[in-house]
Amino acid sequence: MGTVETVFHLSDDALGLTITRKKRRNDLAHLLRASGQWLEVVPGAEGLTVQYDPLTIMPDAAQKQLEAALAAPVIPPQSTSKTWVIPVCYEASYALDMTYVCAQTGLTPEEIIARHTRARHSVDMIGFTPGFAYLEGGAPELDVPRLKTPHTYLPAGAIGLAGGLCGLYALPGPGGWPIIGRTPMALFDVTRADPFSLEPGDEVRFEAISSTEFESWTP
Amino acid sequence: MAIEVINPGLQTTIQAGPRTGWRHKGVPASGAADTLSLALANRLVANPPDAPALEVTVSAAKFRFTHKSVVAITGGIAQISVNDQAVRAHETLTLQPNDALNIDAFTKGARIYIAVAGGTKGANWLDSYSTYLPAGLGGHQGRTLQAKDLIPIDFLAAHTEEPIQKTVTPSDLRPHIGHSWMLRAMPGPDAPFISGGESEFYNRTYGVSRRASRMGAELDSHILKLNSDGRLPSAAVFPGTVQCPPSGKPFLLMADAQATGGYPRIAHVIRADRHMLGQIRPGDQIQFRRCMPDEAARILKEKTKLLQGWLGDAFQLR
Repeated sequence: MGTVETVFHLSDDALGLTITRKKRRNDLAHLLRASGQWLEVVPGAEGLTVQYDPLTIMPDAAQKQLEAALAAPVIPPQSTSKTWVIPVCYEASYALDMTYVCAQTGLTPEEIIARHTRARHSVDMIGFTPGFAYLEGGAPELDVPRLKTPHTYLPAGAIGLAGGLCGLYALPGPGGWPIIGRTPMALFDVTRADPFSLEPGDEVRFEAISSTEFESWTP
Repeated sequence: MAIEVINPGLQTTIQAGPRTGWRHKGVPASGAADTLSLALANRLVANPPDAPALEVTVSAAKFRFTHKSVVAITGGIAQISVNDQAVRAHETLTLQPNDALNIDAFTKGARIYIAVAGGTKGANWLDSYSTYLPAGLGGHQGRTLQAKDLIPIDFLAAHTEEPIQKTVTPSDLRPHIGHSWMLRAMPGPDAPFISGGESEFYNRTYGVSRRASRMGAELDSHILKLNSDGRLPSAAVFPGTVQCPPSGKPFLLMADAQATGGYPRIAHVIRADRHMLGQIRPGDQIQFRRCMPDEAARILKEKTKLLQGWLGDAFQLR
């Protein structure tokens, strides 16, 4: 592996683990979740956190169990990563903060759209709020700061940029990322057993659509 | 067979057990902010510990029961009456059709649980009936209850069991609810960022600010200084995590805590003490006592054993 992966106690029922390689983090997360030994397996930007029940396993034993899982040869799980083509309407009524992003980057809306649709994004992690996806791999010029005053309400499907990442809002709610467009595609379906579409490691490409296409879009 | 909401007060929601195993998709636990009081209320009406019940917050609230119902009230301290006759918390109550249950503004604590035999009916999302307000899911239409709402009671569940035995919560098992709290907490991975070290965090008394909700509570009175710009790579947080944003005011996360956060994680309230978080209200005082994982696990075992003697083996502190 080359890198040292350190395990630490986050609380009396959770262990943290530092991992910088995303592929290793995603593979490990799959394995730990599949083992059924942990209540939660939560990826972070630079690691993983697992939660356990101290009534069934003492903290020291839990640490040993996690360390053993790290030392075991990792058979990478069958690649389940998918490629998504997500339609986005970048027109003014959906791109709430395009002016802000233009001012921050010195680019025109057309240049921003071209860079956003050209990039091959991948899902780094899901988190913050239900289904919110953090995507890596965007154009370096599109690195903009968060809004000073967050939006109190964003519709589901809003797409924002911040800190060099692209963020997809699966559900409506407040949000602090500057919004450059919106997808009509449902990133969340309450009726499915797993209601969230995207998984860490999935590839994402954006495709520009008009507001007419947005309104008449059907899955 | 239903509960009619006459006055929901500040915020009444349906809460049951937490949602587990979905934090990697950004889904918070939700569930009763005070899991112990929920279980104690359910015990008095012969429900399982996590059966869905009403969680009432801080202010006065009023409900009418359409049919004869067996109910129990636990949690925060308030005057409670049925048709203007005072009744007591922590005992099984039998209500007649059209009886009105009134709760005055609480004097202590932040949440009262009203359990009804059979449990309330609502939407199950990802294996939990608990309401998660920010996404509008679970519970009663995913929202806070409003006047005139009719909350159905699970009639079959209420009538399949033997007649419910009237009982009271043993006095030694009733959680103490006051205005000051001692929470045992383990230092977090980012505690070394605290200027002056861990003892700056532990040896202090904090006040609870007005910024308090099911997501968490901001602590003030003592401002911490951090040797960090206040932003770290996003990492998992849980109910019980104490974060410290750049303001220096620690933020104590609760049932609806987000799955990940980027502020320093300076401490973590132990599992055995987290039920108290749901009763903390603005103006209360909080102190933290340092507790390491092995001791915390021992405390959890003892406390669970004591409570399971009354609540049954299905009860868990979380």
